[in-house]
Amino acid sequence: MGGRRLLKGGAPRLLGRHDGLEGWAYRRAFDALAEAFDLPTPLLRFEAGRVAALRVQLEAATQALTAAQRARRIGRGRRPNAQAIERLARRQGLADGSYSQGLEKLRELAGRNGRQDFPALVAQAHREKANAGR
Amino acid sequence: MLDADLLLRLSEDFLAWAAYFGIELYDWQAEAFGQASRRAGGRFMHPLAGISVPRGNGKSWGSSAVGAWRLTTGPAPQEILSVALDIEGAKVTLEHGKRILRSHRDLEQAVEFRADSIVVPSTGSRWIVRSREHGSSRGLHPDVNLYDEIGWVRDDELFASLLAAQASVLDPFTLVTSTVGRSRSGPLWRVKELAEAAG
Repeated sequence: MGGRRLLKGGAPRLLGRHDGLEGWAYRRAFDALAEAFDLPTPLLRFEAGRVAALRVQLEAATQALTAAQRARRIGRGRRPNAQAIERLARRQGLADGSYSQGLEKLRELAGRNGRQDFPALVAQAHREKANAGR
Repeated sequence: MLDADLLLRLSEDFLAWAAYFGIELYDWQAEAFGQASRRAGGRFMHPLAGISVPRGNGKSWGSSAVGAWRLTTGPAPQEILSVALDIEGAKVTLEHGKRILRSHRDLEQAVEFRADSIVVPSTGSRWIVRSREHGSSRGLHPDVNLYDEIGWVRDDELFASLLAAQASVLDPFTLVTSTVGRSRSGPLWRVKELAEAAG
């Protein structure tokens, strides 16, 4: 049974239980996103939670792939075959693509969140000055 | 929310912009690049400026800071062009520019970093690099040219081409930087002579 309390910083409870290694990795990923982007709305926080969950999957997939490659190279006893490595590499690649895509969409969404960036504000000031001079 | 007066001041004053975003400059950089990029009446006081100091003193960094300033505050869409003795040299300035823009969250979030350029999606401004072949920058009309290591070029074809390309630009600025070359001729020497003639 997953916890019911709200998570710190408004992170969505996507993993059900948020204790353990995955919960810790999710928290670390969400905090990093909250530091990089403004997340004032529930939608943005949910999207950030999605990206954080994708990062957890990416980290797990990368660790599994690296461990299998190492085991095949220097392990003893039964070692993963080439097909198993290939399967893990494909999984890692997919996780990497999903994370990158999610992060890009979050960046776009956070950027559009009613806050104009600095160059846009300067451009607006230039336009207003030009209009006032007419 | 930044007020319009402050935004316009940051747009007109390189040193104010650097101070606002916490971009640290050595005293000589503040003096030289501050003088070179001075503006009055919405125009550069010196559309062509040259800075020559010994190697390793941070002239490319200063030049990049000026590029980052114009990219983020110049009337949109700005086109900043970096050139040097070769494409790798031109990329040095661009890479410094990326580091400068990454140093402040508001700047970093406003731009997109690409392999050979920096783009401001909200204004359409861009900072690009081109090789030293003068043909490679044909067709461009950069608002700002950043020409590094100009004291070591063999001819002035690119220099002449870049200046000609700015003929149609309302508020042009070309900043050349270099260590001192061996010859007493060429674009850097010409800039020095022009500066001396202007007093």
